[in-house]
Amino acid sequence: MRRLRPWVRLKGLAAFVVLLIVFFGLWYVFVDSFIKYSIEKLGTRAVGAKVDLDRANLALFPLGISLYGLKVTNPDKPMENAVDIGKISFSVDTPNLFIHRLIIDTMELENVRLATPRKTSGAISRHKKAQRTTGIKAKKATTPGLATMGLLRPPDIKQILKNENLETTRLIKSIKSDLAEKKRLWQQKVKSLPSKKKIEEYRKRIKKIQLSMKKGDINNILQGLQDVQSLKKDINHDISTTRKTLRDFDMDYSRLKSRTMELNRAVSRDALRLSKKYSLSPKGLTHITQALLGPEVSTWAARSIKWYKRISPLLVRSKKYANGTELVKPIRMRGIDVHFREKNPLPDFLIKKAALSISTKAGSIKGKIQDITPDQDILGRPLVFSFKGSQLKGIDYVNINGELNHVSPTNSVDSIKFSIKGYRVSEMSISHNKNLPIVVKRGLIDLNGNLSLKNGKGLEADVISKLRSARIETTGVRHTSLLESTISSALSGIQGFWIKITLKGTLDDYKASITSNLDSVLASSIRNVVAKQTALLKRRLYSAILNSTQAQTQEINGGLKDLLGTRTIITQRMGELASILSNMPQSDSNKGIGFPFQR
Amino acid sequence: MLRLIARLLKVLNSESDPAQISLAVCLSMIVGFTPTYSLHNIFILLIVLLLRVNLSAFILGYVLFSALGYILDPIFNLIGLKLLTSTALRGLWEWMYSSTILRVERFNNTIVMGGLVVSLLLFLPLYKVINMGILKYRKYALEWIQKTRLAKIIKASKFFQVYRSISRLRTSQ
Repeated sequence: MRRLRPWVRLKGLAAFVVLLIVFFGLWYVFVDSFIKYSIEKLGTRAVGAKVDLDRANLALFPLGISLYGLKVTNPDKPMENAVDIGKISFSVDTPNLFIHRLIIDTMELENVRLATPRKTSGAISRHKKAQRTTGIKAKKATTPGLATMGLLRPPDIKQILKNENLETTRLIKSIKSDLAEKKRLWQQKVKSLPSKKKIEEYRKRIKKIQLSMKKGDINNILQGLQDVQSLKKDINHDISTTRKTLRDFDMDYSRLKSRTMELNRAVSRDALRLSKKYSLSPKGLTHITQALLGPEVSTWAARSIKWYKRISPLLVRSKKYANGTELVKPIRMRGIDVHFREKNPLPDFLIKKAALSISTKAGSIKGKIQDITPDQDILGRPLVFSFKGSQLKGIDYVNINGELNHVSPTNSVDSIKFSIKGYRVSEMSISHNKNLPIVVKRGLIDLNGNLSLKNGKGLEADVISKLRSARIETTGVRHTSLLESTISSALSGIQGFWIKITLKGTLDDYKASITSNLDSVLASSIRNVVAKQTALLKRRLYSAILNSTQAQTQEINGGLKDLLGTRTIITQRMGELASILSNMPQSDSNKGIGFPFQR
Repeated sequence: MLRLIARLLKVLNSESDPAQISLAVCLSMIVGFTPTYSLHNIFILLIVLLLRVNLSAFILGYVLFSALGYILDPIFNLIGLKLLTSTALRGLWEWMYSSTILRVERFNNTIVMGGLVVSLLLFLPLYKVINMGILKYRKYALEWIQKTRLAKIIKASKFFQVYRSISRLRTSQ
């Protein structure tokens, strides 16, 4: 002991204890503020808009936390809270907390309200938002709206012609280039025809022969006959070549002419094709509901997917494995935590049960969520939730059940089923189309839906909504087209209808189809109007295309006229050659020897 | 900082046991090479305060080894990852993982494991080297250093005044 004495400093032990007390004392004083700060900072980063917390309170025995006034801003509407929670309280499993595991047995969320107004904007700086929202985009579904179907307003012809690739334009371009090519070719070919100089030489040769044969010498006469034969042969060859050239020209010309005639037919075809495209087709007539409600549905679906994308990273952690052991978060100066197999594995974060009551205008909807964790593969159980509300004001009952199953990360299935019965609506807008806004003045809605998402990609959703005892109006807008007023009056007579919405595809690329018994009702009312509009559109398109291509067509016709000049040259040459040949001295033995001087 | 260096020099130049300085430096290496808020570091703090190791040497060592630890961090990460993902040691790690106290120690963190293994492996050799170095310094270098021109310049500096004030303080105590 004496030997140890110079090495031991008992005051040091006291200093150690004091240090620990000071450390934990400071921690306890500041921990509430630290919790508040952490929740606000991490929440804001996760949501992409301000998350505010009024205060946090940590209790040590038993260890538990109470959070008061948690407000999560809707990133799309900075003056509105997406969720406003009055109080969140939970107790924490202390031993697990020491090994960095936050295990909460029961979490209670009281006075949960949705879409409450904010006093100040909850928007965050663009830079911060960009950091958070990178990749969180939800594409709207591809549903043809009224405008694209040309249902309500006559489409802008100029815009159509500007956007469309016309067969007429392509044909004009091709004919022009063909014409230019032929012009160049025939200019060259004309040069290769017997020239005027050559024809003159033929004449000189005839004169020479005639002079030589006039001398009366038998040798000269015989030589002259030979020369006549040779000259005839040459001229005949030239005539035959020129005739062939004329034939070729006629073929080229008639081909160009027939292509020019085709232009008219191309204009007709273009007008027909575009009128079909930009007016409601017979097939489109059976999908009027899609045209009317499609934009609303795709906006609703895009918003839901956006929120799912925001929440899903909090529910599923991306993981890496090495030699069968899991690796997470490789951060500089913090290293990587390697996780090993455990006898009774538990995730780092788990809320076994969260009970909440959502306050709505209709009353309170009670709900519970079980097994909230980003590590479902460790826990071996999926997140399950259910919400129920009955005897609500204006709603018979609400029932929502769902499961986010990521127990097998490679084979995940998220699903939700909901059923709302007897939802009394009044002044509910179901189409915000500015030309044809549809308002349900009063009615009862029954809504049933199934949504599922497989492996975070395969989206499938079926929602059936039935409206009964309804009065529908399209008031407030002066209908400027016959079609609008026809649809409007057809809708006014309807007392109930059903709509089935189907979403299929991936989260980033899905298609929404909407079917309804409204389709057949509306289709029969507007079929004649649509047919008239289509015919009118076709006529307008025809004359617009003709007008827009008039100058070019005239240019082509002028070019063809110019080309005909070449034909005149060829026929002239052929005529001259034929005339020389007909005036030649006769040398045919059958007809006797003909002498030019005998004339 | 000047005060700390002066205190260290004072101890180096005094007759105190070199092991007190060596042990302080070696313990500071463990704290410096591993994340500060680790369970073993609380235990080391207790040792440092309970045993008569030189506190100035410990604090200075901690500053130096923390800086070195920052530079060597990728190597510790690599060593830790290699050890923790080794199939031969998996049984041991799984056993340790099931123990709450060892989980609190965060042995499964690559930096904790790498830094701790490296510092434990270097502990004894460094202890011996520093011990020997202090002895040699006191025997051969101290007297020679005091006679050099540089030492004379230092003696005229503010730093030396601090050093002397500490020496006096210690003597009066």
